[in-house]
Order: sequence, then structure tokens, then C-alpha cells
Amino acid sequence: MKRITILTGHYGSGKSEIAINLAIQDELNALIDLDIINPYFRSRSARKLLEANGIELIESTIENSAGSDLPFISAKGSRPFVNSDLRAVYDLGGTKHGAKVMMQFRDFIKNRDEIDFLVVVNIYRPETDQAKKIIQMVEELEATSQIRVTGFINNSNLMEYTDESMIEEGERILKEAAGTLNLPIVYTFIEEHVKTTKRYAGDNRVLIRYLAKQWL
Amino acid sequence: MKTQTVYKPTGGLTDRPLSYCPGCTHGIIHKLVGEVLEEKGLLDETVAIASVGCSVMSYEFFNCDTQQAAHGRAPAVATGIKRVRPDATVFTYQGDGDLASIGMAEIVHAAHRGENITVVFVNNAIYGMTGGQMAPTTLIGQKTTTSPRGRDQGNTGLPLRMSELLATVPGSTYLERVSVHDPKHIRKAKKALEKAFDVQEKKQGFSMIEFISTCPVNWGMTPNDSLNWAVDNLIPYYPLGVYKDATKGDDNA
Amino acid sequence: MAKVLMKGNEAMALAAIKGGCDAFFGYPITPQNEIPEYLSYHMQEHGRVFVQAESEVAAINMVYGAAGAGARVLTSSSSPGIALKQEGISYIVGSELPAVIINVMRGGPGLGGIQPSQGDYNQVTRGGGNGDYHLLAFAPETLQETVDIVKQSFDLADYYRNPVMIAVDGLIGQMMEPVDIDKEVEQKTLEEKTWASDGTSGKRGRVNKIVSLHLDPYDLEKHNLKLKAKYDEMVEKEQRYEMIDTDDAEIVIVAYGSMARIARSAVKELRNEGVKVGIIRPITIWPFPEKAFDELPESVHTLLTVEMSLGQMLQDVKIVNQGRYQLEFYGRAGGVVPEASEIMDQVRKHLKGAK
Ligand SMILES: Cc1ncc(C[n+]2csc(CCOP(=O)(O)OP(=O)(O)O)c2C)c(N)n1
Ligand code: SF4
Ligand SMILES: [Mg+2]
Repeated sequence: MKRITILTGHYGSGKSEIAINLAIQDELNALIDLDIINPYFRSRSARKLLEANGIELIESTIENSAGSDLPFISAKGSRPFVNSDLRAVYDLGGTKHGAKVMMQFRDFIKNRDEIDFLVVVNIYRPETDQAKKIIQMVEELEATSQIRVTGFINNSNLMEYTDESMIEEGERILKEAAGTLNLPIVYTFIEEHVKTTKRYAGDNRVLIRYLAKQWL
Repeated sequence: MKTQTVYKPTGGLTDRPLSYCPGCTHGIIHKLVGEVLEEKGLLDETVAIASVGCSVMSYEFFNCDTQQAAHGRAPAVATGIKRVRPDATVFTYQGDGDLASIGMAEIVHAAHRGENITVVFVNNAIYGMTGGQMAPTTLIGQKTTTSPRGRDQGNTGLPLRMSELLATVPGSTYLERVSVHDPKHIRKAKKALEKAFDVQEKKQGFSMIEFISTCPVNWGMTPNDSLNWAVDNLIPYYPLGVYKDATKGDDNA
Repeated sequence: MAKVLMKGNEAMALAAIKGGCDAFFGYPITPQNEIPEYLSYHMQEHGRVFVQAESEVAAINMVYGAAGAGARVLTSSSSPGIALKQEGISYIVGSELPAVIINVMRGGPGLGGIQPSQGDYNQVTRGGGNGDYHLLAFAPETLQETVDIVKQSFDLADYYRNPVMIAVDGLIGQMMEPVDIDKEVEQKTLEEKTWASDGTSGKRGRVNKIVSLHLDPYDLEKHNLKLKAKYDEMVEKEQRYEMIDTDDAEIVIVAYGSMARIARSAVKELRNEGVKVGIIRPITIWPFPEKAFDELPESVHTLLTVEMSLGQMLQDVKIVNQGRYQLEFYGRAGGVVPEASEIMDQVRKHLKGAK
């Protein structure tokens, strides 16, 4: 895992849940929530959990922004780029509109080799259900963020309906896109309830849903 | 002896008697709109939007499909119709209170989007329907029921000039101010209306003809005096003429 | 077709396209922005109309115009924006036009907040516009139900020539859930819109007028009675509700939308503890599902109304209850979403012999 992971993708692809999972599983120093798209279900809602795990949550310039839709991003968000002791995950808002926020940090990014810019894909989201749509999305994300995508995360799921075949189908389509773009699948996330012994592309991780309540 | 038809009611209007007070120029303006639509053969494919004001009943008078809009919202209603029925000819008929006060946002934004509609704007410098209150177009010094001492600038600002204002909106295409106080001006006004509907037919965008109109009843004058008052007072503040013609230089024009 | 994973707002937008929506007019407001965003991209693909209006006032009047011209029209907004639309809604009703309005509710009053709320219950069921009227108003619970209702609502609006409002709280707009967007829904047999004022009077051989003005009071009363007859028909035919675990229940929770989801969770756990509790879930909030209350078994002694508002639906429960059961209430407001445990505590508090 590189020192910095930036998560991008379509909205609802699972970036925030993955950001929290990565931060906890890899004991990162900080999670930077730069979601300027969604008003709810952002990683900042997991403040207590993150802080209990010793992870600093960096989000907005206004206190307790969990209830706001003001796009004020915190200047502290640049710290991991400058301080090479910090290991961090960035959670961007969905689509190219969410990715454009990275322009605010462009001048702070010194060493691109330390950064993984990963596109989270769930092929059960209609906007990313085909390789050609995924390829087009990658181009748009790169254009607005001005950062090269370095890989994919397969997060193909239908929530409680998820089974092995869906993860496999996701991998098949994602490999098609990844092959064309010559990019690796860096992680496959597997819903907690899916019991599987199979090995999927990249680092296999369990996805625990921290943001969705039981009744959602 | 050869007979000559000097007056024939236009087929552009229904045979419902107009509800306007005697000598009110709303009537002349209706007739002009009806004639132009009939002569251009557009009646069968037109939707007229009546606004709220003395012309609220105009949906009964124009001999075409009609829809009655809430106060000030006629340009939004016209937008809705034109967007789903782009082949229909769509026009609004609005007073100055309707268009320049409560409906300011709707008129500016219809022009701003370049909606391909025509607006017939009847400026009589007063709220006629509700009994003669001050309008944004009421002249300084003009007495109304809500400016009993005469409109004063300190309290209420200066009268709004809508044709001039809309000429600054990049999306508008054709804007002309006309008057109907004598036959010569009536002929000119008709030409202006023809031009405006031409603009719409050629899909060139937003057109508005502003009519200087009278309200003898609320102005408290005889119909004749009110025509003279309009010439002496309104026209100097609201000069007649073409305020914008963005069709010029256009191949289709 | 198979299920896909969608965000509520996005799913409603797609459902509208599937439901045959010809035109959308709207204005941005959180938490419903994904609806216009989605439609701004996808309506064009289908050769349909999308216009971002200058305000909610303009948007609803564009809806009025387009509906008058015979199109199937949608607008969406959230609470403060719906308040602005009330004038136009009243005109649409008065002129007997169909339209579909989605309200993704947030906390109020005033600018309020952006978190989910059910504080618009009165605004939706009583209306903020002038006159004696109602909207057919749905308050779905899951994305699948929401999608199905959005698709059906265009038919229902056309059938009754009356606007339909779909009121969901922000959670349903923002949450992700698997849906089958192509699931078959019941369709109405509809008459041709021979009344439309669409600039085809030439072909039709007569002119059409779309009007809500009736200056003669007797004429206007007649018009009101005609509208009333439609509302009576809706009360008779359109009440929708779900009875959940009520067969042997002693306490019945009344809850709709996201609140019903939370109540379901609470009931599941309470049932494991042996507590006899069920739910009446209104799916239409107007007409209010009175019929559900007649289906309750003898065993019921208490109705516990829970809302993400402070007793708005409770008024309807009181009207329907007519003294039959003990009435209790629990509500959170301002965008605070209660936990299932809060509802469980409330139920336990009101069990017979409790305290
Ligand atoms: C929302 C709303 N506010 C106020 C009114 C009352 N009202 C009716 S007509 C009118 C003024 C009309 O003046 P204008 O547009 O100049 O038309 P005129 O009667 O002068 O032709 C007003 C304020 C209304 N019908 N609706
Ligand atoms: S009140 Fe004035 S504007 Fe209205 S019809 Fe009479 S004269 Fe004309
Ligand atoms: Mg006037």
C-alpha cells in the first residue's frame, strides 16, 4: 500500500465505506473527507469510530459539518502531501465533479509515486456497468482531478444480495477496462456476509458497513 | 354604388364582447394581435397565455388555444408549452404590474434563455384591475391609490423601462416599443407585432412588443384626454422605437 | 430485468423516464440535486425536455404550461422549494392538469437544515396553496417501492387530472439500495388528452382553454364539487398501506417512509423478546389509509404514532381513531433520525402493566 490512497469513482460506488475500512484495517493516521457532492452518508459521519481508532478525521472548515452541504474543504487536507510521516486515505465525492476538488491540492503534491489514485467500481451501478463506461469515467476523473489513475478497486455488490458470482462478474468487466487502460485491480472488497474461500484480483479485503444503519 | 368594407371584425378574436372599459387601449391591442395571427394564418397553431390584470379574461377573446397563468408567471407557462410543443406559436399577453413587478424574474429569465416566444406587453403605468395602484412603471408625480401624493422618487425609485432593461439581456432577440394613440401609430404597432411573430416563426428567439396603453378609468380622464396624456407624459419617458434587433445580419431575417 | 444498485434520487429520476415523463422543470436544492443532475444528462438521450428554471416558482409554472399542452411533466424539490411551488400547484389542481411532484423532505421551518425530515406532512397532505384541494400523496419506504410509485404516478396523475406528490425524506433520496427498475407496475387505461391546449386547434376543429378562473360563485362551487368527486374516488380507491405483524398485536406503531424502516427493525427485535407489536404503514398519506385501522384485531389497545416530525400525522391518526385506542406519540425533529432502540423503549413504556 502506498503512503497515500485517494479514492474516487461514481457516487454510491462505496468510496466512503472503503475509506473507513482501509483507515481502520491499515491503521492509517488520517482520513480526509473531501466529499463535496453528497449531503449524507459521508465518511465524516464516522468521526467517533475513526477517532476511537486513533485516526484523525480531516473534513471541513466548519465545525461538525456532518449536517451541512457547504463545500468548505479544510486546508489541513494538504498535510499528508507535505508531511511524509503521515499515512492517509482521501475520500472524494462521486464523479468528475467530486474529483475536481483535487485541483485545490495540486501544488502540494510533490511526489506522485507515493500516491495511489484508485477508482472504486461497482458494476451493479448502472453508470459503471460496462467496460466502456468505466474507461470513459476514468478519463473524466483524470481530466478534472489532473491526477493519473493508478488502479481499480472492485467493489461490485448488491448489498445483502451479494454473492460470489457478482464479485466474479465485477472482476470480469473490470479486468476488461483495466486491461485496455493497462491498470491493475489493487483491491477487491468483499461484503462481510459473503463467505468465500476464493481469491480475487489484488489485495482481498472484507467490507464492513459502518455508515449504513441496520435498518437501511 | 360600389361598397367598400371599412371595418370587419377580425377572426383572430372570438365573438365574446371585450370586457375592457370604453376607450381603453387594451381593446385596440387585442384587435391588432388577433389580426396579425389571422393574417399570418397562425390561429390554428397558437397558444395564448393570459396573465392576471385587466386582461385576465383574454383567454376568452383570442380565438386560439389558450391558457390562463398566475400573476407574473406567464413567461414560465409559455416556456413549459413551447418546450414540449416547439411547433406551436406561443405568446403571452401581460400588463406592467404582471410583467415588471411580480413577474420580473420570469420575464428576464425567459429572455435570458432566449425562449422562442412572443410577449405582448401592455404598459399603462398603473395596476388597472385592482383599482389603480402604483406600478413600477408609474411616472414620478403620477397619483395612484397607493401614491396619493404622486409617486415620489425618494420612497419608490424611478419608473422601470422594460424594453431598455431587456435589451441588456444577451438572450433577447427583438424588442420594440409602440403606441396606439392614433391610426399612424396603430399601423406601426401592427408592423411591430408582425415582426415579432416572424421572429418566432423563424425560431430566432425571444421577442417582445411593449405597447404604451391607457387606463382612462383609473387615470380619471376621458378616453381622449388619456390618449393625450400618454403622448405628453408616457412617451417622453418611454420613447418609442426598436430597442433591440438581433435578427439583423442573420441570413434568415 | 435484474436488480441494480442505485441512489434514491437517481432511481426516481430514471423511474420518471421509464414512466414516460416528457419534460422536467426544476431548481437545485439539497438533498434532491441528483434528480435534476441525472435528468439534465439523460432526458436529452431520450429526446425529452429538461429545463433548469430560475426558481421553484418558475419551475412549477413551466410544469403548469407543459401539462396544459398535454405533456407528462415532472418537477422535484425539497421542503422550502415545495413551499414556493404551492401557488403553481393550486393552479394546476384548479385547471385539472396532471403533474408529478417529488418532494425529498428536509428539516424546517425556514431554511432549516439538510438532514432528513418528515416535517412536510401537513404541507403535503393539507397543501400550502389556496383553495379546497388535495394531492394524491405517496410516502414510500424502499427504493423499489419508490421507483414503482414514480412510474405509476404519471398514469394516476393523467387518470385523475390532478397532481401526484411523492414525499420521501432525505434518507430515501440519498440512500443506496438494489432495485429492479423495469419491474412491471399496474397501468391505467387512459383517455386521449382531447382537452390539451397545445396549438392544434386547427386539426381539432375547436379551441381549448386551460383555466382556473370562475368568476361566478355558483360556477366555481360546481367546479369545486367536481374536484371533490375526484377526491372521493381517491379516498375510495387509492388508499394504500401495509399491515406488519398486526395479527396478534397489542401495540401498533403507525409510521411511514424511513420511519417505518426503523420501526420494522424495532418490531423485529421486540418480537424476539415476545412483545406483541405490529405496524400500520401508510403508503399513501393522502388519502390517509383509514381502512387499515378497521382491520386491526381485538387484541390492540394502543396506537403509537412515530414520526420524524412533532405530531403532524398524529392529527390524522386522531381523526381516524375516534376514541377506539389509547394514542401515544413519539417524534424527533429537525433532521434527527431516531434509533430503533428509542422506539423499542417507547413500545415497552406503553405495554399493559408497564411502569
Ligand atoms: C399573487 C397575486 N397577487 C396579487 C394579485 C392581485 N392583482 C390582480 S391584477 C394585479 C395588477 C395588474 O396590473 P397590470 O399587470 O398592470 O395589468 P392591468 O390591469 O393594468 O392591465 C394585481 C396586483 C393576484 N391576482 N395574484
Ligand atoms: S381599468 Fe383601466 S386598464 Fe382596465 S379595462 Fe378599464 S381602462 Fe382598461
Ligand atoms: Mg397596468
